[in-house]
Amino acid sequence: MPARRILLIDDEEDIREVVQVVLEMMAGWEVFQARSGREGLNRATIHRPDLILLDVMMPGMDGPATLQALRSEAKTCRIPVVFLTAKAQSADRSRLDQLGVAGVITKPFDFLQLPGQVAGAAGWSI
Amino acid sequence: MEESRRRRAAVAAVAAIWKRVQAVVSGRVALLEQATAALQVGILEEELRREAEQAAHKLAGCLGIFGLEEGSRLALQAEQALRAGAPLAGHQARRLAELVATLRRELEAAQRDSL
Repeated sequence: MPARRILLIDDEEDIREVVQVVLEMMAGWEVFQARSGREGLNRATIHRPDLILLDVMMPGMDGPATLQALRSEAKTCRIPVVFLTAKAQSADRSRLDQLGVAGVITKPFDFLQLPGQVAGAAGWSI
Repeated sequence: MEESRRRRAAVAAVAAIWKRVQAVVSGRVALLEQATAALQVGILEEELRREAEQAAHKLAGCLGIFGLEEGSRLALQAEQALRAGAPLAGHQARRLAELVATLRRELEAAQRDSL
């Protein structure tokens, strides 16, 4: 079975590095990075990932706006999305859930638990 | 056995990333120190306040991921204190300065431990 392919959209480079390393090493998934919502839209269209990890708070096009744009494109509208959101914004959790995402992961997260959290949200086995 | 090996490899890789990002993390704390110093003399401008709030937000996220939970908690408190529309009274500005100083000490201790 080919490796799961994940697109990670987050403006913070250190977060992107950790997430990519952990998901690739521990779960054997293939991870693509995007530094912004706009770049993420382009990469989602090109790579057609199995899942998108999407940061909520980003400059310019934020997470919810990026999600809306993904949903409006035929090539990307069915890709499941998991939000990454800071703990301070977890009070907005119900609002984020209502956007129809597969899951919400709170930062900071325990990176050793991240593959399990992503798999759980996506309905995958590891 | 294989899962254990993968976990060890991931832990080592994240430790290597932590060493690489320490300068960036230290720079974010320096921005907080700059903002709190300006705040204490009553000259914190909006642009610096916004930059410091963003720096605190990034610190809250990344420090926790690298295992610095106390640092993450302190950064979150700093972010909340610096949020727009939350004017700081004198004692609150002093409290913020103490908080940032503690954050700096936490970071320096973590950097020593990682050597």
